[in-house]
Amino acid sequence: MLQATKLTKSYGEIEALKGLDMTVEGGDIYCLLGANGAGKTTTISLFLNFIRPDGGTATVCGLDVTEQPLETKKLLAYIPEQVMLYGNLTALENLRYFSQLGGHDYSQEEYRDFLRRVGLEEEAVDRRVKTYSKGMRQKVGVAIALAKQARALLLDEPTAGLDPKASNEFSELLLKLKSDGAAILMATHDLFRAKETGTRIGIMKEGRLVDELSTGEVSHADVEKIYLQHMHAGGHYAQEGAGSA
Amino acid sequence: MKRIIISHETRQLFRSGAFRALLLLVAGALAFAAFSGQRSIDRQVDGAMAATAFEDAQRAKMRADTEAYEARLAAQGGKYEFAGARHAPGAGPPQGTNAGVVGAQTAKYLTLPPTGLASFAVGQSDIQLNYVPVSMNPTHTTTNNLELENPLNLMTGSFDIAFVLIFLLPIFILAISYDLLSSEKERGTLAMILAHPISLKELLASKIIARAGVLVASILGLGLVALFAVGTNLDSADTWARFSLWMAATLLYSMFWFAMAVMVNVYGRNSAANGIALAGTWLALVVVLPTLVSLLATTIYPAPSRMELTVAARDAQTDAEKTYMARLDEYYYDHLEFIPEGDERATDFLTVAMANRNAIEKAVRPLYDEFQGQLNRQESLVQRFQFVSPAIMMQLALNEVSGTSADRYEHFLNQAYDFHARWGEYFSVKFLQRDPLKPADYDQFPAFEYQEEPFGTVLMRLVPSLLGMIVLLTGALLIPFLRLRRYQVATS
Amino acid sequence: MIASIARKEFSEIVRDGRFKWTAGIMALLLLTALAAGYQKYNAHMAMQSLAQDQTNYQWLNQGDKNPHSGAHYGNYAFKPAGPLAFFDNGISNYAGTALFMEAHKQNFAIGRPATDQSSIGRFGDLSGAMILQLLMPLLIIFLGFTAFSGERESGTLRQVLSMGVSNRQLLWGKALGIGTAVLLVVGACVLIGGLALSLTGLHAEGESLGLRVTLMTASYLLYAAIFLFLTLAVSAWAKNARTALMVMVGFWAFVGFLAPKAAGEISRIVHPTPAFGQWMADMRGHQMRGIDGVPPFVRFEQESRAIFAEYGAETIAELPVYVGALRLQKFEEYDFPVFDEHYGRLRDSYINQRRLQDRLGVVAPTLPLRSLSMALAGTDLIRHIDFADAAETYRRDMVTRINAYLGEAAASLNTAGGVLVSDQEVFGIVPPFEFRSQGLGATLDEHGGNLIALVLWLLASLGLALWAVRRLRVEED
Repeated sequence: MLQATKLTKSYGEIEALKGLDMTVEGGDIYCLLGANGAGKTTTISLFLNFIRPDGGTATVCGLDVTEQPLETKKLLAYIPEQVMLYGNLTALENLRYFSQLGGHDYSQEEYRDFLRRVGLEEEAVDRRVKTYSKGMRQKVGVAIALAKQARALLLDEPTAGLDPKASNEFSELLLKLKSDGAAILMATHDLFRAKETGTRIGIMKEGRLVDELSTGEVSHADVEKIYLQHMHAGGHYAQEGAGSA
Repeated sequence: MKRIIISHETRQLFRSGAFRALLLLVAGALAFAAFSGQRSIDRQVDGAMAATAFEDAQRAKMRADTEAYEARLAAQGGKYEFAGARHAPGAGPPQGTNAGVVGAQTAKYLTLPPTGLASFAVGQSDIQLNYVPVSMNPTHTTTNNLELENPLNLMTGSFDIAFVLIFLLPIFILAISYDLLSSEKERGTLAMILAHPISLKELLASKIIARAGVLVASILGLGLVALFAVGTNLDSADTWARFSLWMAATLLYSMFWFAMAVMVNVYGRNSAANGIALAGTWLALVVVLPTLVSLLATTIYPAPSRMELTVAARDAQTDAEKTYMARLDEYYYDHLEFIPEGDERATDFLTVAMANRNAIEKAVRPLYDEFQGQLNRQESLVQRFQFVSPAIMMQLALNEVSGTSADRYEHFLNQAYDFHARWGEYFSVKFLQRDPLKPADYDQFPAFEYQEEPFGTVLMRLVPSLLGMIVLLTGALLIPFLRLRRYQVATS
Repeated sequence: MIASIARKEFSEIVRDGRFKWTAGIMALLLLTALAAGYQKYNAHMAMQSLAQDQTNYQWLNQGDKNPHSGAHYGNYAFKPAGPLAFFDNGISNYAGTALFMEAHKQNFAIGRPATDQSSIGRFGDLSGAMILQLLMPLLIIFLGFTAFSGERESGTLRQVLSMGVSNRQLLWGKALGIGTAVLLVVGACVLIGGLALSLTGLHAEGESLGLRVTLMTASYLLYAAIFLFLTLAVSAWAKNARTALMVMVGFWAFVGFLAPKAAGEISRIVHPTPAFGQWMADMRGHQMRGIDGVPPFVRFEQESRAIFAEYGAETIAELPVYVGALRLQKFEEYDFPVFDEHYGRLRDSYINQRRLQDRLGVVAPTLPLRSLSMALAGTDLIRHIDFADAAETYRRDMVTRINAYLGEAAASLNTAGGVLVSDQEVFGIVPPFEFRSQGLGATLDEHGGNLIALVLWLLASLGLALWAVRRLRVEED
């Protein structure tokens, strides 16, 4: 459903992506691991057509994002590290606005229902968002994704900085979305949660995907070990590792 | 899709206390401007009426004297005679019988009527007197009188609608749109929005439409209210034609500033940098460039010195006085048929004075023409250089629309000069022939009615300014349109 | 500590490309304005003294004629430019330059340069004063709005404060750094301008030039400091840099553009100036009616016995002076209080308007500065009124002298009748007109309040800055 083919992107001298190939199918939660600057955010930005690739293609449900940017965005939902909302609007108003932008319109009750489903407290729904904690904002972000009926989700470190409870609630939500058949691509630093929630794990380094794992086949300890091996290894080994995946 | 964003943006705008305050400020400034513009026009109209009434009363008194004189003659018998000019009251025929006295000692005030939109732009009308006295005195005395405005206030300028539009409106526009994209980017909502099926172009357009819709609609609406509140000649088509042009100019000027905000925003800098760039642009276009163009005009075509003119006029006067017999010859040469019977040349005070005036007028005419010439050259230089700044174009357009432009005033003065010639001719002929003025003659004095310029002429003068603004606006829209493709939503 | 903060601030500013651009443009404009102003000033002064000499000469050489005709011919007073007009042209463009002094009539100064300018002239003059009043504050804002807010956004504020620097030290250091950068630009231009002037010179004998320049410099320094501390205060107080910028730019537009016009308009509403037509009709009507309701002709008849008695005469024939001259002089004198009243009314409205505008300086420091600057440059209303007063005093003296002469020289005409034609030498009894300004004393009396207003503004902005840094937030919320 999400597919990257030989994606490359550089910022001036720096090559952020060096021929990335990856696929995320419906029902997958694909967790991208990697150090800062490994190219995770770049990958997500490319799927969103926020930046133009220098080579290769990114497709959503078979549609090229650079050729049909608006069509593909209808299929996507995006939850950044900080879900940014209009502070002086309420959660419901924010949700309605973004839903309408996505081409959907629901009744007042339906909007409330989305917010209820993501676990936002009833009393918070009509409060202005600027008073919200980060966890609450992330929930609204998920509600936006839900309401959009997105086929694919792009998540950029959505749980960074969340307390364990909020983080856990967020993961629950992802699992619900997954069970609805959405393809989820999530960049994260949280190895534990990647193993818990994810179905597959991709390890990126210096713009390349150096390893792919199925979470069902490895233990927590393995994930950490493999990850650290890749991080400590030189570029040469990493290439071999990618070949062996 | 646009509709959703527009309504969202509009709601967002109204939620912001700063925007509501700004809108209130615009409305307040416009109301105050309309009020003070109207005050200035009322003051002029009252002044014109008072001056006219005073001079008319002078003539009415002279006429009443002649009527009394005629009645006395009818009762006592005798010839209706011409009175020589006197300084002090005395017996004999009243001064009102002397056409020279009536023509030289009373003035006819000619009034340039304000247009229906005059209070929208005070323009030069606080400097130029819109009611000028015409007498047998030299032509230049017609324009020597000036409106009695405090020079300090003249320097500061009027708080009229034109000021609000040219100076303040851009600031309001820039204040609500300097961070059009940058704020969303800084807040992070830009990525949230663009993750939805919306193009950047659509987003920008919607944001501008929301802002421009609210602000421009308010301005135009308030303009209409102002027109009804303080405008005159509301039933005249001319007023409405002028108002339509006012709306067009205001719309173009506002859109130009919105386009500037867009242009700066598509470069993707942060809000503070955008703010600096736009504040600098405003300063350059609205304040610095107009003063530079003005400096250029006065440097290239400096007006000759008024002091020099004064000295020259006095030289002409001394010369005329010293050789007054020769001047008188010259004068009679011009008015050959009016040499009074029996006396070859009258050498009385008034005749000599008239001859002298004639001589002075001839001597200083070229100098005055030079003033007008330099002024015209300055104006045409400004016309050519107006395109460097929308503020200049807007000012010229608003002066034109309001009928307070230099051109309309010149049109009026030319009629005044023609009338001056007719007035002088009427009285000097009667005076030189020693033809006594009868009461009935007072109805025959030359009358003045201002002939308004055809609207087409006004329109033609407006075309360069309006076209210039359209070209500038197109340019200001085209650049961001081309640049938009390179806009970076996410930075590395 | 403060010095090193200042040094860091200064080098950061000077290295910024924006500083080079804005400072360069401002310096260029300032030098252009000073050059253009000086050229205009010089041309005006040369023309003024030439024209004054010429009309004084014309007065003396108007030929043999009746002295009263000579008084009608009159003389002109030409207004010299203020001693620092090249820097601040003040109201000069809108006040007349030539005042006709003739028998019977008090006149206005005519020949306002603005009438010989295109309508675009109303945007204002590019003068040194305009640049320092409007552009310099914006430069200060541009350089200073990020002082605290920018460091907060970039997180360096945390670092700096963790080093044990007090908030106050930070404020002083930043003020010093930014102030130095601004002074560098403005000071250099003013120095160049001053140097050029000292080579060419000003026509300002007896105008206490040194004191004027000193006070002028002090006023502008105060003004710059007001903006500097306000900018720093807002930078410390505002949530982020863009808010700081917008607040300051809004303030700048308010004090620089909106406030002066609004103040002008308000002062006109509170102290209205009559329209020319109204005023003219009032005054001429008053002249005809006579000051106390007795028309001049009637009044002269009524008073003639008493007047004759002063000369010990019963009839005209016994008068030792020419009755025509006596009447002329009396009529002049009857008009003096009428003129005083009506011109006085006008003048009062002008002065009251100006004073009210000065008082409105409470809301905008540009108003007192502008007023002070014009006054020190000698291009303000007081100077203009001074000039008009001097001309009227001269005119009254002129007609009095001429009428006195006529009275004595033409005494024989009381019985003989006819007209006296005098030798032109007679006009020498009237000294030539020369305008001497009242000097700085009167100006300072009138403008002390403005200086105080600026000092108060400075104290307020300083207080605001100290308050804002005391509750300085280290983090964005």
